[in-house]
Amino acid sequence: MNASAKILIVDDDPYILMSLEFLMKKSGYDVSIARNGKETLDLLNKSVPDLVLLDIMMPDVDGYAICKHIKATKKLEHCKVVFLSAKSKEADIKKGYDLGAEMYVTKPFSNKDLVKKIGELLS
Amino acid sequence: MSDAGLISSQLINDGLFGIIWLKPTALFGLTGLDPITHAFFWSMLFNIGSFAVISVYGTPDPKEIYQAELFVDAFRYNTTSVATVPWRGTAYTPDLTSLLGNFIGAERALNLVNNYAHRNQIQLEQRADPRIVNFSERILAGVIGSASARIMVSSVTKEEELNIDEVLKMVRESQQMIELNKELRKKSTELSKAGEQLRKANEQLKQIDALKDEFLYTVTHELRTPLTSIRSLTEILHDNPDLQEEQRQEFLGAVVKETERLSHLISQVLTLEKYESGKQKLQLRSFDFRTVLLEVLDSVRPLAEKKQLSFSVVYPDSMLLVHADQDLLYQVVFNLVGNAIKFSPDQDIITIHVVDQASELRVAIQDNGKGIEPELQELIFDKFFQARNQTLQKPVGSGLGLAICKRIIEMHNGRIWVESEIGNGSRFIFFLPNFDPTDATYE
Repeated sequence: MNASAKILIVDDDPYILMSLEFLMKKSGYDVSIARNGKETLDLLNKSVPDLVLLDIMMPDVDGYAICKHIKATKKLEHCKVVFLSAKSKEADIKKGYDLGAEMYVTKPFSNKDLVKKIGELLS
Repeated sequence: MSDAGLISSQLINDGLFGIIWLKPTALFGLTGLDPITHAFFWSMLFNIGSFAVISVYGTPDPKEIYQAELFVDAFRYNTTSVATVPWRGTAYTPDLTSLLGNFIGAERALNLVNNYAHRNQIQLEQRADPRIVNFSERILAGVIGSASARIMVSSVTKEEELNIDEVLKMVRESQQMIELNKELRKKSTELSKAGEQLRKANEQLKQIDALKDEFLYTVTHELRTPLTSIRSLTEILHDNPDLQEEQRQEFLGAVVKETERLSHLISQVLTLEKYESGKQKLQLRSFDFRTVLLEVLDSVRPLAEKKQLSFSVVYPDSMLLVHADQDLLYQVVFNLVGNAIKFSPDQDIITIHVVDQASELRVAIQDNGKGIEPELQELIFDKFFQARNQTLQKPVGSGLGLAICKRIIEMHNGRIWVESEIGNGSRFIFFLPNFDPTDATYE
């Protein structure tokens, strides 16, 4: 496990952000946070994270569009995308993988499972 | 009398061929009777004797049996029924079964006739037993009417002639058939109309069903969000006993807030469901609208003070009598004022304007928030609309408040809408019609 890996957490819910931030920091990652699509794109312009934890339903730009942007941007080609969404329909999940996401985790999630899966993706 | 007529006196005295036993006045030695009685006696004896012998040794005609049965059982039959009139003609079994076959199917006809014959111990011969003819007629009567059945059967019965009554009966029967047919046709147009209506209703139900599915999906999505943070935060609290007290308090506070949000959401969903399904009946009574307004302002005061907001409330001095469900109307005003507080910038003024017009009460609540785009102004009254379409920071709330307001106002036959411009705040306005006791739409 690469302990100094950079993770960008994107979610519009302050409490989910609170717990994800704690979890990722505790696992030893370098964590940054975005609360909406615009902030996310700004942060992605400035630095390249190893992994983005991406919510889908956000007020301005949705997670799918951000994933598309990441996968289409040369600079971000090594950035992994993990969708973390309450959207649990099969069609939603399929769409996520079709856009090139590495993983799709549905909310509510188990902390241990999430940390384990992210660890595997980054190792 | 000795030489009278053609009979010689010798025959009378010595008997036929000279045989004394055949003497006409004393046949077989019977004497002492006058010639007329004597002749009558022997004639009767011979006739009765022959009848008895032939009856015993001869085979009776089935028709005779049938007629005899009818004669003997005369009182058991309803004499007005066509079916009991005995058949006079001759019919053939195959003709009858094929006739029956036309109406009830060949196999069934054959079975029925065979069973009947077996039960009544009738020999099924080429020439039909009258009981078989009768039986066939009864079966047909059940299918096509008794008069027509008689005609049909007579068509395969030889020697049977139709009388005028029977023909008239058949005409009457076919008239009834035509009437019946007309009625059936009317019924069938009615049925196809009803079918069309059912089809439309079904379409509507399908749409409603799709909407319900969509609603359910959105509800579960909305429920999952607070559930996610509650689960994740409690797992953290559980797995990290060495957490700093400050952080521990922060996480616990968040869990409490999210639990509140969850239960608020659930009660809002149930409320809306109750209104939409029509289960919620209005508890109508007359009251002064100003009391509702003042109650709402009282209860939102702490929220407003947090953002240092103030209210400018304008309403007439006179009583504003409305006939409505007071609790529901309180909800509407509370929701609208609550929204205005939520979206107002700090230290701002919220304006509330109440006007009593001729036929309706008009309430307007104005904030100086960022405003709502024109194309979204109708959509914000949809369920869960805000959850999907707010910019930047997601506001607190279930996303059902305005949907509930709209439903309540509509239940009161009123209207609600928003007037807004980007950058110039929003004005939510609702009209409540003054109560008309003759209006039947009030329940």
